[in-house]
Amino acid sequence: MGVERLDNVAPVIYNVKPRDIDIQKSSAYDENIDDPIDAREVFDYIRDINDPEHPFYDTEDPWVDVSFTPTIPHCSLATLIGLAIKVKLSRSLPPNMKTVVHITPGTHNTEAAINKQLADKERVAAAIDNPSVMRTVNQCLKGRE
Amino acid sequence: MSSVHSISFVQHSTDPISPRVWGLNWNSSGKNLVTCGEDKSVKIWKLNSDKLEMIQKISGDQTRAIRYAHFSTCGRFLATASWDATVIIYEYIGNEFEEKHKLEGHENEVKCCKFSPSGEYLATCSRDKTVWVWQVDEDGDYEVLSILQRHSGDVKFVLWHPDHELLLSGGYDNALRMYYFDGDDWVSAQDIEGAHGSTIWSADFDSTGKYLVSVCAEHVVKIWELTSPLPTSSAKLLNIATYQIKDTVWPLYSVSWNPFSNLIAIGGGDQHLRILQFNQESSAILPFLSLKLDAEINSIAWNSTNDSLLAAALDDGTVQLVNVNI
Repeated sequence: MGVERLDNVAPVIYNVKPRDIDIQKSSAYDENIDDPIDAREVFDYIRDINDPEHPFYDTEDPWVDVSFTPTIPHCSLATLIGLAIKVKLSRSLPPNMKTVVHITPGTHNTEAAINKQLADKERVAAAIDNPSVMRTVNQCLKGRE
Repeated sequence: MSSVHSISFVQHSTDPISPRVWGLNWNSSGKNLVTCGEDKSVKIWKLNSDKLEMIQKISGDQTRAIRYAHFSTCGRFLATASWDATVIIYEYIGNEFEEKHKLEGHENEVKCCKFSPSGEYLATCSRDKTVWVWQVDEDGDYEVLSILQRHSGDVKFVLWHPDHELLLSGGYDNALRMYYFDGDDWVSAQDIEGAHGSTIWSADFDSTGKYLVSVCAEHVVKIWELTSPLPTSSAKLLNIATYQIKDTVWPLYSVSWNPFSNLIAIGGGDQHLRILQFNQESSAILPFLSLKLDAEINSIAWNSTNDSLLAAALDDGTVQLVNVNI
């Protein structure tokens, strides 16, 4: 393949800054609160602006990128927590919105292995399809009484 | 002017909770398509000019998602692989496929099942990291012949060579592994650790069996040449070309090599159906055409006899028929 004489020969294709969701905010799910203009809305206005060096790349649909930090570096529940986040997002966001959930770099000893599992669509689907796994996940998602 | 466009689609599943179509395959005549998915059903379709018509629905035999389905070369048998750890063999009797055998043994989700071209073997693979080779006897009964435990992770697919007795597998451990029959048992011919930098989701041979294409989660496509295929014990795959699809961040889930040409179809998480061209003389992989579909593509297959027809299985429950005009 030829080398192109561009400033940015191999751009990382992200069309929008990853949106961190603060999952502690219960107001995000409260329907009585007005929804002020948010990053997604702003993105929708500017998404068609092309990089002049790479005008033919199709606009990538925006996705949600969530990084989470386990409380201790060897936390054995990190995979389960990551899965719970993925499930919660899939229940809350529009159905075709893609999500990437990963461990904040440097905060867990087996983060590469956990990130790989969470990024594997088939593994996540099979886990969600497993009733005993989902019982535990739903416990995580129950929220405080 | 070359073009690629959708010509029709059907709904494998209308279940709003479990729409995903995971796998599909044409039979050898190209007249029928089998689809399977998250809704735990298998559907058989007839191709009627450029539309699919459902002729049979199978459900209730497997208790979890059905990940893959494959016709035997003769078309009389169908194998379906499920996350419930079973593989079911159906036989075409009268006017429909009837359950004949339930193959048990894998410890957890079965990811793929493929009849060998001769019909003598069936290969299956699973998240339990093993590849099983089953032998079919004259009565049509299945016996486990070999259990191959070379993978260190979830095995995503198995693939038979079109002509030689060679079996391939690949998956979560980023490795491609090849096996041959030594007279008694299926054994390792080659282990390619780090064949890709991430999970290898799918691979396919060209019609001659000289070349293999493989795709992975890091959106890289590789072509391998099969050297010294006979005796099969000396068969080796050699990487001769690599192509990174740069305008995506999502995995490539499925690859299919056109039975009549050097066109390679790929589908993945970015919803793009891509057609690449492999140039044998220069060992170059070149982008050719691309079409964005409405949902992620889990499985893609060129029709066995119509070289411009493709079927794609999508997350939204649809099966798309696509025409590629050269």
